[in-house]
Amino acid sequence: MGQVDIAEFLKRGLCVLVATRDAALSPLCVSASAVALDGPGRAIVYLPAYESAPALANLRANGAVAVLVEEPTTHRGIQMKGRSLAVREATVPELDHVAEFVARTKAELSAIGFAPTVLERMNFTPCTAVEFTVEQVFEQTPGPGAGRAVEARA
Amino acid sequence: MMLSDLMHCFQGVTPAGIATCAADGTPNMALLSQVYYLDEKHVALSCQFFNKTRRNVDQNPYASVRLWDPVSLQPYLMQLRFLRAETSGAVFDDMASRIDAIARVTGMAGVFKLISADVYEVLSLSVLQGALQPAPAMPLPWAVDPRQGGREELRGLQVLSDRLCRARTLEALYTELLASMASLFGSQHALLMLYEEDCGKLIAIDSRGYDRVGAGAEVKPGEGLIGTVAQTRKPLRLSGMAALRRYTRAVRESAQKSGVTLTAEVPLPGLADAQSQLALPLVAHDRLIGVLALESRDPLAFEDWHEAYLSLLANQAALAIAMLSDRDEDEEEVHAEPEPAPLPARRRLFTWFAGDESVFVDGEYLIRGVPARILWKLLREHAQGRREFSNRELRMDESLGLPPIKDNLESRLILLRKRLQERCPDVRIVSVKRGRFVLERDSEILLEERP
Repeated sequence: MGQVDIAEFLKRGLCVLVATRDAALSPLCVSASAVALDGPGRAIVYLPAYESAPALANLRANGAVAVLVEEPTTHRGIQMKGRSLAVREATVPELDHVAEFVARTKAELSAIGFAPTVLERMNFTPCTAVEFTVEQVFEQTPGPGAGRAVEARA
Repeated sequence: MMLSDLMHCFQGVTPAGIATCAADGTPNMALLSQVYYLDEKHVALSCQFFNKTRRNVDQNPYASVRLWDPVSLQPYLMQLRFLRAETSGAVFDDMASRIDAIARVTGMAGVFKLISADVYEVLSLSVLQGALQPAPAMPLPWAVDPRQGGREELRGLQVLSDRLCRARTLEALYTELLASMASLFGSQHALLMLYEEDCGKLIAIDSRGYDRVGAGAEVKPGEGLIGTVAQTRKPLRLSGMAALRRYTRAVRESAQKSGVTLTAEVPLPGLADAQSQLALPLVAHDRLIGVLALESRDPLAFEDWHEAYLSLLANQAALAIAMLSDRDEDEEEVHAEPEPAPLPARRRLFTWFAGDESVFVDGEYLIRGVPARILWKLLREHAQGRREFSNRELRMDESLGLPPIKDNLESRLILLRKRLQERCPDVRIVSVKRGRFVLERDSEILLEERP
């Protein structure tokens, strides 16, 4: 099994997508503003308010979550799967982290040709923090290796 | 909102995200390179690797797909239900030919290939309100009255059709065709390639909007976008090529880590930074005549309707080329002006390499094959005092190796003329009337033969 340094990867400019599901196993894809590690085997993903309500309802009901982080210029990506532990408002220091994460995301999107006027319009806040366990990590770069389980390097 | 309102999202400029869920309730998130519009209730997703997404929908058919408008980044959400995986038929063939072309131009042949076209029913479609702050009041580039746009394009088609019908020579036809791409259809970069049956290759005959005409450049059928169109005889459009290149580069790196052997990357002909390409086959009487290739730096320059109406134009152009190529020339006697003396102190050395039947001028490659044999004949006879020639005598000369029918002689002469214009403008082939031409030169011509 290969290894991935999640903390190092999360320093890049990344886009974040989150999958949840309801009681009927109907999946839902939402975007996230940012993600951060929160100690061994734990992470926090920040969901923007404009579309998070049904995803938060799913997480409160069953906790199952998959978080894909992807670098737009290279499509390198990893996926973390686990269960939500808590759903709460993001704190002020967390919002600072979100702002810094979003700035890197926008720099990446700018590098692939999106104009500043387009990027300025994107809403990332207000957002809700979802604490979750990281039980499995997968290589997610498109190709024959996508979906392969990898070990999170401490 | 209609699914067809999202056509820009289906061009692969921005990848889509897909969420699925396994039978045990574990969700999965993945990226998709392209989502294909089938009709208002159905889309197809390309299955290129048997991955977790595919295993999940085999167990639980529901999926949630997020798309982005490639210009405004407005997100949309589709809730889908997997219906079937198609491995043959029109939908599969269309998706496979596009993926195959992408694979060939990025050196991913054999790795980046379609396993199945997975057809999904669209259960719901929604605009994700609030994702973007309100836009300044400015219409999007394509937000024009489609009826007005349609009328304009139809008028353009009529004008071009008229011009093609009036062209008396192949050279005039090629010039009109390429010039009209820019003046009538706003496509600034166009390349015309003709298929040479004897060598089994496409040869560039003329172009517009590039630094060099590129006459004589060769493409084999099956090679890149143009070669794929020649092979399949179907139009092919690639949009958002920067995004496609990024995506296939990621697959390439992933494949290399997995130990898969890849072929060398084939550079795209034309613009190095093309963002979209459209190539149209020119077919007449079930015979491949050539390929018309258009390029743009705009990732969304070509849409479905461009492909449809420019195909009409390509059919007309193909028929016109076939008719003019087959027409017998007039053979009236004309008397060319006496040849002026060469300019002092200018010399051009033409070298014939018998081994590969090519002609070099002043040590640089000029042309090879049949046009090279023609040029060498003209130069040798010119050295003996002849100046004027006819197409008929070239056809009668067995040493040139022209096929008895469909010899493309006029196109070969146009190619030769363009190559001389680019590489040696002081030696020219000038038509004096249909079927007759003179060899003009401003410099002294020296000839040498090598094995």
